Amino acid sequence: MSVLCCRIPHFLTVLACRRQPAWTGRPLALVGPDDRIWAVSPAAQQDGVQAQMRPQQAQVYCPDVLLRDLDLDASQQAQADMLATAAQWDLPVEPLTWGALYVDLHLVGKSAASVRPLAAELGQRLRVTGGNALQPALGWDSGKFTAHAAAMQVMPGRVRLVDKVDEVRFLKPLPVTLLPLPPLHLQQLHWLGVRTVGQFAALPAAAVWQRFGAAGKRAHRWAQGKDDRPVRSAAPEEAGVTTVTLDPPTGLLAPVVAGVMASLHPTLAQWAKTLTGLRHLRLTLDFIANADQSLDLTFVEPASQSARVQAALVQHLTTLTWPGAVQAVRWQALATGELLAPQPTLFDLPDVRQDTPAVVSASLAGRYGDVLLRSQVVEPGHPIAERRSHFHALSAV
Amino acid sequence: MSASKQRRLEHAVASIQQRYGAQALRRGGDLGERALSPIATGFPALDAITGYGGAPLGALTLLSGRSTSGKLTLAYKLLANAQRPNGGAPHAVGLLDLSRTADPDYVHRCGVDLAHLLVGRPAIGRSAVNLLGDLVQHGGLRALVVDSVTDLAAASEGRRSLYALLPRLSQMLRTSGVALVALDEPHAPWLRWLNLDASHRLRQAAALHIEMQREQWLRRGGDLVGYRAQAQVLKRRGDAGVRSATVEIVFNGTVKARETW
Amino acid sequence: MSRLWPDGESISVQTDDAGRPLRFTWRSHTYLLAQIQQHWQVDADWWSEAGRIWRDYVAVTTTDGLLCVIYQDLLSENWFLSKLYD
Repeated sequence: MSVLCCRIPHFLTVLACRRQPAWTGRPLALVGPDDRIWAVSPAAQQDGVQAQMRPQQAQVYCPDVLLRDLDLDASQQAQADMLATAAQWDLPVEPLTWGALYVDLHLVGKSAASVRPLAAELGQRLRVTGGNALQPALGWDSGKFTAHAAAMQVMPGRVRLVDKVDEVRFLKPLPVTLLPLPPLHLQQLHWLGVRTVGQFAALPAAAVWQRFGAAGKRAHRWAQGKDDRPVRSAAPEEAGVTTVTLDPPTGLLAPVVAGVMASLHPTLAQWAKTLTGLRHLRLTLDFIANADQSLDLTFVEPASQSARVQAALVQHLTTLTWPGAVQAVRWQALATGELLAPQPTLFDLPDVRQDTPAVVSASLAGRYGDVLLRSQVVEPGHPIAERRSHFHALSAV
Repeated sequence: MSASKQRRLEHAVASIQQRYGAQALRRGGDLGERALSPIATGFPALDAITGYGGAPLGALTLLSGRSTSGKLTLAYKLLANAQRPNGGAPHAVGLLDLSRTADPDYVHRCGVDLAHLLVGRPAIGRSAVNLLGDLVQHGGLRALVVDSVTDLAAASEGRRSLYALLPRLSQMLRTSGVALVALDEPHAPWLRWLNLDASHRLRQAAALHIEMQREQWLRRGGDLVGYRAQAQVLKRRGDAGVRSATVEIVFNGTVKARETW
Repeated sequence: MSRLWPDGESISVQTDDAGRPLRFTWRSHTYLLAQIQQHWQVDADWWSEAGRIWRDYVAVTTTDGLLCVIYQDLLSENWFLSKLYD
């Protein structure tokens, strides 16, 4: 195999600054439709602002941060332009995330010497398409993971070519956080003292599999330079249709979402084991006595967590006009893609959570026992004030 | 590893691309400034002079004043406003009821959703301070009211624990994003001389300090229906402008005929 | 909006000849009543094994600006602070 990875660092914020030059150099965070930070400029990153934060939290870290809505249309157009440029040689091109893609070069060359001219030409073409502000960084190797790691290591405007014989040596010192393992697994590795890809690769395969499951086993192979995943083009894949019947038919959102997610969850879990996620989901709602309506959920960054897919589903369904009760929903996964590595920190991503009192109490109950309570108004009209309400321990709920 | 390779590795780690949010759903609208949302006090005139537009997230707000000054009402209204959801379930908020005098009926009348209110009633002392720190650090609550500073620092071990917590508290609040609101009563100056004045240290740590003072009763047809109070901002972000606002607290009556409050 | 003492805070009250409270002492501080805002009686739970609750409630304002509800337990004739508005 011969894989070239192209990535344009800070793709979204650079695009935004190109449209609004006054933002250049300032701490900027772009907020997506889910009210979370989707992209962070280097200046904001330095102050600790990270993707997936809520805007309020970003402001806590960086009071001067510019919070702006992400222009999704313009971003998707720029992404499409980048993919089109890379596809000019009629080679398989697979989108990775915003401003990043893979190109399969096995028909062109399998050595660094043979690939170098093509990599340079692609880099130049992308610069012409995107402009000087969108400088790509290129990495090449026989496998996707190493090619991606090489592209992340190199400066924009440069290419890093990793020959097969150099793979293990190249990967060895890199941080283990490059592997797309769940944050909990990365934390466990951190506690075990495993900080580099080389240290992870040196662990016994059976132990990794037992501890971290199929996803860990796969990541272990990648860490050893054994990544045989093909580059898949962005064309839709053939996928079966799954039908969820709603009995009785309903005009309510909750049962529709619950039914679809119950059906989808096992598939998402299965994909997660292979470090793959959902990229394109087509839903068709079958209304009683009305025409079907279809909608497409697309994820530039593949999603494997049910919560994220559910949030997208809810958001889409609430913007749809429902002409009647839904009697069935058909879903079809049209495209999947590889999961990306989480944040490069081994610590939990700080987040403004939205826990319930019971969740908060449960995490503190061991230390504080029954001092955490919930209250309830039971007799609002009682003549004796202290009888109108009472407290009860949350642990008893 | 050579120095140049080490630098490249450090650069690679530092520039590892961020993980973007997953959903690509609605079409983008105009590029507009995202509204930040401190917690509204429920009194727009007061919000306007705090320097934050309300009580700031990730920071300490101190509400001081005598009894019947309205500080407790203000605190409960902050909790109610902090619960306001962004299209989903209400946020969870907390009340550290150290005096054990919280009246859920009236908390509810202030607009607080009791199902999303966590009430803590620890013993006075180190345990109470530890619980305060843990609730802040947990990050699961959007706002937490401590009633009161006097009770928190009542015992000597509680006072020592509180003084030990204060240097870390700002960072903990910044990390968790919780809006911490502490209630306090006026204290004699000599308490500070004897290092028994926890309020002084909290005032230094606070991002916002509002002092409440009742001015006059409000009557309708001879019946007492509420009171007017003066809210003076003693500490805030920015120095310019008006520093006090008038707020009116109107009683939300009970159901029974005999007792109107 | 008020603080509530579910078990009542014990206070000592000085009344006039008609039994109306004039001042009360709570936590070593004496509060002079400015005005009685409302007065009502509660007689409840007379059937309960826990015992009858028979109280005279008075909502008062003090000269130093407090608004509170005190009551006299008519069985024991003791006075208690029930609520303090804040």
